[in-house]
Amino acid sequence: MLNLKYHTPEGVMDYLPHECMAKQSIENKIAQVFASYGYKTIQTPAFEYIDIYSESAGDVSPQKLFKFFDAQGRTLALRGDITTSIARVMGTKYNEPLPARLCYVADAFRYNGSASAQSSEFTQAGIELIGDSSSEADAEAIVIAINALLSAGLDEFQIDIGQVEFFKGLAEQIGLDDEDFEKIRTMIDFKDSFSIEKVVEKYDTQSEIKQLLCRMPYLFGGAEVFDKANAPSLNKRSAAALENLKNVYSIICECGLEKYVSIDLGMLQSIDYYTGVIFKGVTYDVGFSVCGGGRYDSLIGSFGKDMSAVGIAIGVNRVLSALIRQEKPIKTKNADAVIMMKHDISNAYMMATKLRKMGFIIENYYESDDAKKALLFAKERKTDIVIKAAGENEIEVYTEDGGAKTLCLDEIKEAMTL
Amino acid sequence: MKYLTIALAKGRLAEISMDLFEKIGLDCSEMRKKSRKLIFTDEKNKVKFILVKASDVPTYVEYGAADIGVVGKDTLLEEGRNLYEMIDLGVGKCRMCVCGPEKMRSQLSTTNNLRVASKFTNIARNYFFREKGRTVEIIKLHGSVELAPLVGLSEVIVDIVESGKTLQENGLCVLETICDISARFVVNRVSMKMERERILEIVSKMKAVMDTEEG
Repeated sequence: MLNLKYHTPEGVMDYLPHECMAKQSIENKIAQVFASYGYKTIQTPAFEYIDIYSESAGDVSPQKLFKFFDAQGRTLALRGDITTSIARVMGTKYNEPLPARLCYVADAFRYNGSASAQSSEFTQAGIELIGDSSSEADAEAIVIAINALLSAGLDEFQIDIGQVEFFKGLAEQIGLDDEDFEKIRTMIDFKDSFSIEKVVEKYDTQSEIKQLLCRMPYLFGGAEVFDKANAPSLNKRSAAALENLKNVYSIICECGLEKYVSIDLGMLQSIDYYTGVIFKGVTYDVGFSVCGGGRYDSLIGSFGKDMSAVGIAIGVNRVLSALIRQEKPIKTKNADAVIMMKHDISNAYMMATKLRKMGFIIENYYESDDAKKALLFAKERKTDIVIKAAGENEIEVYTEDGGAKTLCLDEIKEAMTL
Repeated sequence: MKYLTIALAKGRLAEISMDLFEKIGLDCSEMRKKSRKLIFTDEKNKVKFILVKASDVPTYVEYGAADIGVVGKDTLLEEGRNLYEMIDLGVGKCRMCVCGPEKMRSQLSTTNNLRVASKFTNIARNYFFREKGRTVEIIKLHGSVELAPLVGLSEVIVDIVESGKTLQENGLCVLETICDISARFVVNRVSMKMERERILEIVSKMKAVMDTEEG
């Protein structure tokens, strides 16, 4: 019989200490990058009234959320992302000067059905830059994402940048009806150019625009895309989108980061939500994107105040998988030394406290006064040094080769730093 | 250079795919030898071929375990994976159809609690529930689907029809066509970006081969 008490539910997992340490080290590095750009942490509740997602589609549509009820029978949902909650805060209670630079590292929850490569609980590390609608703001979000991924330890990755308004402009110009709009959006998103031709055939517009629409699946790559996408007959909306994307790209180039970015005008997911640039980061050995984001100028307005915003969220769990699969070193820290407590607990405690205050990690060993046993204990925990308090400032140090020597506090500091 | 991994659907489609890949200059000779191996390497072009069950091709490609796959549109529709569907290879052509005894033709839209047997339960569900707005009972089968209406397991079936011969021999016929099916060249979304030049080169050569064959 399946006894559920021995299992975690589908879609969630435990992180054992060494995995947890690796994950936390990534989170800390990313958070440091965010902080270094002046982003301040914000915390929102782990669950919300489902109503805040009522206008959401795609990834955080109500059907993908974990739902339950409060005591009054109102429907609650575990947060599907952090951005929606931040938008609620911005629209209802944020009174500090704009632009606001906010960041977070937090868990979000979604049912993921058949696409079980994504788990139902995942950690997002992200930023939101609110109240600045410039191309510079768009570029800042991307630049920070690049630096965050670099600092997490990835070096071979690529951030694709798109602009949903370009497609919306073309669709407007051709006069696509709602059904064909959605059909073609999907085809472009699936890079299926053959089928687009068949749908567009029946529309009577300039062939230049039609051809451009059919070419959209292939409008990706480097700066050459801008020329390929340009056409004299583009309408204002598409032309402005292209101009915005060019500016963003050139700012990133000026920062010397062009090798991490590429353009993809055919990236068209969640386009009801995004209102400008969108981005997605990919790397080797993980078949899914490791970060994503974009400009969402209408979301905060739905909570009461119109504010432009751009943000990006990094999937910490996926970055961790990528680092592991690419065999990149992730620094995890074991104890610097094991201290034998048994012979003189008072002296040992004093000594250990001194070392801990210096920043060393000292693990207590109570079981025996035998250095050999203590060394075995230390070895099992991947720690090389066993120490024993000898006098006020003197320590006996035991190493694996059977050696023992007495060192003063300064010397032990050196020995452990090595 | 990293290996590009191409997933092929075991069976006839693999043979057709090999012909296409050979025409664009990849070496499939190792795979042509009948063996029980599942991975075949073309060292010169740094390409690996893997042979998997057809319905698993989209899974390997979505997860990035394979960069490229060749698989029927039927499997893609059924599995609903998030991939790039770059080329309609125009081979392995057939149709996805609703089939049953001739007498069902007039009753298809009126029968209450219609039972539909199929290997392709997602396609069947999508067709009846979403496109036709009908509530039906879907029965999952794994093979010899034509049997279901004959022994009273279901009124109709949803299945692939090529020549229609099997249907005919069992006294069934095509009642409605859901869509046309052919083999597709699919690519993992991340691979397309990380290995853009190599994959686009394969795509354009593949298209060129198809154009010359059509012409």
